[in-house]
Amino acid sequence: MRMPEEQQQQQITPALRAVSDAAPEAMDRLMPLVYGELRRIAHRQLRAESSGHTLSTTAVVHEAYLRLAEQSRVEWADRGQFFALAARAMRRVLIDYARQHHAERRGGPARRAIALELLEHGDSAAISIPQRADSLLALDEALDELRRMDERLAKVVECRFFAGLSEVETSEALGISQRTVSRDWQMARAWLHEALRDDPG
Amino acid sequence: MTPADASSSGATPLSPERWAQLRALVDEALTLSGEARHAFIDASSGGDEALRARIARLVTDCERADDSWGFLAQPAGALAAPLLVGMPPFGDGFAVDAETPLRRGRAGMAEMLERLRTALADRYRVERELASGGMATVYLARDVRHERNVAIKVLLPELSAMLGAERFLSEIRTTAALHHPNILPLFDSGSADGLLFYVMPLVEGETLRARIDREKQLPVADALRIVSEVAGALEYAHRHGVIHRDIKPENILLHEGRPLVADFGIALAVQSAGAQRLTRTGLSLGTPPYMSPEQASGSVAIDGRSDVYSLACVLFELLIGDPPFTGSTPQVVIARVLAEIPMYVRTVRPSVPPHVEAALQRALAKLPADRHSSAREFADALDAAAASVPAGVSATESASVPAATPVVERVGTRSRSFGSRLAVGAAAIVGLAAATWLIVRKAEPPADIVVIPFPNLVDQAVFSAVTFTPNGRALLYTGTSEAGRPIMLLPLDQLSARPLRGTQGGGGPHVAPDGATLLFQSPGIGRTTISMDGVVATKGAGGWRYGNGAWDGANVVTEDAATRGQVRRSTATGAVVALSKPDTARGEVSHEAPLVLGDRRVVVFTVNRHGGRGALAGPLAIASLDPGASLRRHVLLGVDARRAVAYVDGWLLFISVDGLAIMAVRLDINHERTVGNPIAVQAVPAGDLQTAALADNGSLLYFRRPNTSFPVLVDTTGAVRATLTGVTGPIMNPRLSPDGARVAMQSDANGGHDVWLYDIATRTPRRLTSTGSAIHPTWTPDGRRVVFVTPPQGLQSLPADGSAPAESVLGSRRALGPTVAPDGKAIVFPRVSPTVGYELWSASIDGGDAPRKLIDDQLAHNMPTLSPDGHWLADVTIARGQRDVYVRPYPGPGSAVQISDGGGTEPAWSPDGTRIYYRANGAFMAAGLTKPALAVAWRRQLFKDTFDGAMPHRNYDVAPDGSGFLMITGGKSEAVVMLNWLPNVSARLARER
Repeated sequence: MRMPEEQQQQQITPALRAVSDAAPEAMDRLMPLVYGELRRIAHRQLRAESSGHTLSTTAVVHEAYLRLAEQSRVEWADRGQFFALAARAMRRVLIDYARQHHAERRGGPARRAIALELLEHGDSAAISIPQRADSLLALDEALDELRRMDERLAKVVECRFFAGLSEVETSEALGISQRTVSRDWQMARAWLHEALRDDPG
Repeated sequence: MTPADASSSGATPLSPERWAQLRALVDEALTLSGEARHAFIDASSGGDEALRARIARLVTDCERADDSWGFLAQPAGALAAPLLVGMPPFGDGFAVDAETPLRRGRAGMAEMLERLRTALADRYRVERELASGGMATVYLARDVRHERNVAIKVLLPELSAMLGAERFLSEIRTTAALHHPNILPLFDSGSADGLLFYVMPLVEGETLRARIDREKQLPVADALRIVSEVAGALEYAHRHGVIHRDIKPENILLHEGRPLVADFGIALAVQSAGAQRLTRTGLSLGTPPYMSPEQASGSVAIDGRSDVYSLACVLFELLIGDPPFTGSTPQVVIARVLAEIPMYVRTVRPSVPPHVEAALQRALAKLPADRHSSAREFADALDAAAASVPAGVSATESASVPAATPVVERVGTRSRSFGSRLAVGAAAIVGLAAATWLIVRKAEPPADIVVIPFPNLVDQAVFSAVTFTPNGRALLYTGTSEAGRPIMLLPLDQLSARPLRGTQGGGGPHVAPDGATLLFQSPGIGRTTISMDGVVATKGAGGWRYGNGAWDGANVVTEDAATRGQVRRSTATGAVVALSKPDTARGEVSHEAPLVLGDRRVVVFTVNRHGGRGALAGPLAIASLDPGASLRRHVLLGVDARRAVAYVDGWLLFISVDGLAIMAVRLDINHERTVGNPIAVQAVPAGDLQTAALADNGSLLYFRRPNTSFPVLVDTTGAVRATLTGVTGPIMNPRLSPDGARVAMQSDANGGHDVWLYDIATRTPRRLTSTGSAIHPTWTPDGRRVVFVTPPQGLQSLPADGSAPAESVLGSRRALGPTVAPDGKAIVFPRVSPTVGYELWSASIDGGDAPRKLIDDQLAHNMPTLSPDGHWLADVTIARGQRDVYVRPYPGPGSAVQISDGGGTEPAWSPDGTRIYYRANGAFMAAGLTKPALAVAWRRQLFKDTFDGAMPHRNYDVAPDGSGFLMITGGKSEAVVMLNWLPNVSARLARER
């Protein structure tokens, strides 16, 4: 579909205006908007990439930012505020798709084993869609566990892995130093790797 | 999964406090190394082996995570991308923002179910989830008091939290009083543990949505019956003061074929209970494709006619598979609901009775006052509207009524007799456009213009018009040569175009004002074919140029091939009436690009005085269409233009001579003169406007072909290594010299064609010919001469240093660009054939041997190219509209081997003769050859072909050292649609008045 983008822009602006001067928790109201926008941009990106089917979540998030924030002339507290929200929304977008593909084929442990394999050894066209879905869902679960222990680590994973943000952008998004991002990202990967390893110990 | 499930894992989740301690230990250990680290970990784990191992592993992993560790190193996109492919861009609820699905994890759903079970335990035994939508989740439950199964619909917690429970419940109770065989009753409603719910009977059957998804379109009789019964339910509810507000296929259940309307009044209950808060966040409720315009614009005063509109949308979908307005986002849909006129369902489903079309169009009117006044009246119109067709009008005639009737009545600009409405013809376009304009003008201010570009829509070499369907909802154009050049239909709300059956090779599409009939030019030379619904109905003698004609469904006004003046030809009888004649004494060559206007009384066209090359441009003239006028004269309007575009409210819109703008000038039809000076209403800074069209809904379409392109050197992956600038105008058919140092190319600047030479090292262009008529250059193998075609004289050659005048190589009127054999003696060239299209001929370059035809298989062959060793000939063979690359022994005999698979064009040899390059469906391909028994060993795409292709000559070349290719870029055509254009421009024109 060719999107009359300006048109949508107009519609979104009032919603942004409404929240920009409201309390920070009003940001969550924007979640559906950002969610929808990310989904839409992701699809368009995939369509533009007629062969190969790659998806740059980084590009999706940045485009969403440009469209939702800058062009609508809304003053966000800072760009990071948007990135943090978008990272969360991006995770949700991808997990929702994974869930739609997943039909409870495997239990947790088997799923985690696949996820570990896949997430450690990288992507290949040979990996099946159910395997991909399983991996993302297993990671999502593990990330939920991580969040309960250490919310900041989970947010760093959302920014770095799901939204594909750089360390600098992640530090901007979460309001922490770049060095902290770097250390948190190390620790989060280490912990998630352990969580997915699933060997009794 | 809960934390407990992972208890066996070495990574058992810890409390935040415990984790903070553990992390501190890991961080500390990371600062140490060697034995010190081991000692520290041993000491801090205090003999707990599990803890020790865990710290150690985390430390190891943290260190690995620094560099080349693969785990999570790639962002999620690559992994997740295949999950998105083929999935809808929106979640299950297609609805505005409040309904965007915020689906929680399975844990969350289970949590919800538990919460509900507990809260309702005394009355209902909640079994399981049945369905989940954007706004609510439906559960199967047992009503313990009445011992029956029920469906409990629970609003999403987010929504419940935003709504006031009391208000919601009081609203929903008013609907509990509805009792009708086609209304799903409400058993119960309430609030439990903060969740708002209501209870309905469990219906065995499916939703109408499920049936549409399965069958796509329903039988007309079924659709009408279902909609009539729903209309009955609506009529009943409306009389009881209840408006549904969310009629859509999801809310219509089918129980043993009987439709049951569900969720009566729920939308209002939700809206009135939470409207304020929802509005504050900029959110609104409803389902855009079925929303009435008054709902979409946020109007508070909604009455039953809004439901009638929504029901008409449902009928529309049942008949053709889609609701009237669709789009990729709710906002786009809403914009269309507000601004656009729905298409005619009979365009795509002619079996729909005309009276149903008329009823639909009326029910879908933008203004409630223009719709049926009640659901009953709508149902009556569907059932018995045939009776309301005025006496004396046959069914076939009435088919065209809906096109004009609703709109004309809607605006009420003037009252016409029924007969005159049938006869409005081409003028209806103008009338409809003006009507839409009036409607839109009432809503202040008009919606902003939305610009949608369609690059590369049209095959580069086919000069063919791009046009709208009259309602502006789709584009029509000639497809690529690879697909056999069918006329393509591209709905603006869809990604892909589809070819119209039976239109292969067609050009110049025109759609009748009723949107149901297509007129196009057939591929035959000098012959005109009139076609109805893709089926050839009439053939006429003579012809008109591609994209050059005005059609009202009965008569076509066009340039006559013989007189070059304008004629009106009946598409039914073929009868021709001359309308104008070029005044040769005043240098007029032809009258082109007609626009019929003024209630079909006059035609405005462009007077062509230069006879051919380049863009059409000249004075605009007006002539009468009055059949009584015996004197065929035309009057110049004192305005120069490329072509007239539209006539709206006294203004004639046209394309400026320089192709840089759409202009407007006031035109007094009665006195056959313009008033005042033209003003520019739409600048197109990139220029090169070729055609433009205005749709009924006020959308503007323009089509431009850039006048500049340039060669680029690319490597074997298609990456650009150098851009060769300096030659102006559209560049075509580049050929590298045998040493790769120079390029011979054709430039079409200033409407002429000349051959230029370009020195790559010094970036210096030099013009080789200046006759304005030299095309298809190629080099002799010694690199000393350039051979080219000067139609109609034939093949000529020039020394590359320009030291001597051109010599004739071969006098052949119909010869096109040759390929020269490596010995420099023989040439093979395509020759235009009146019977098969193109034939391949060979001749000797010194004129020694008489030309002979190479292949005689009654198929078209072109783009010949000889292999570097001269023993093989590659060409493009066109069979049944399909183009494929073939290779055959040269000079023969021997059979041809197909190189491309499923389409291929513009073949070229690799310098070593081991492979063939060609273009296929957007890909630049290579095929490896095995010899001596020629066969294709492999094919693969080298890169995505984003460069300019061409017909009928290869538009790229292969670097002699095999390092890459010389491609052409930048000269692509572009169609641009501007939604809401007229309403925005009309305000300005009104001020000019």
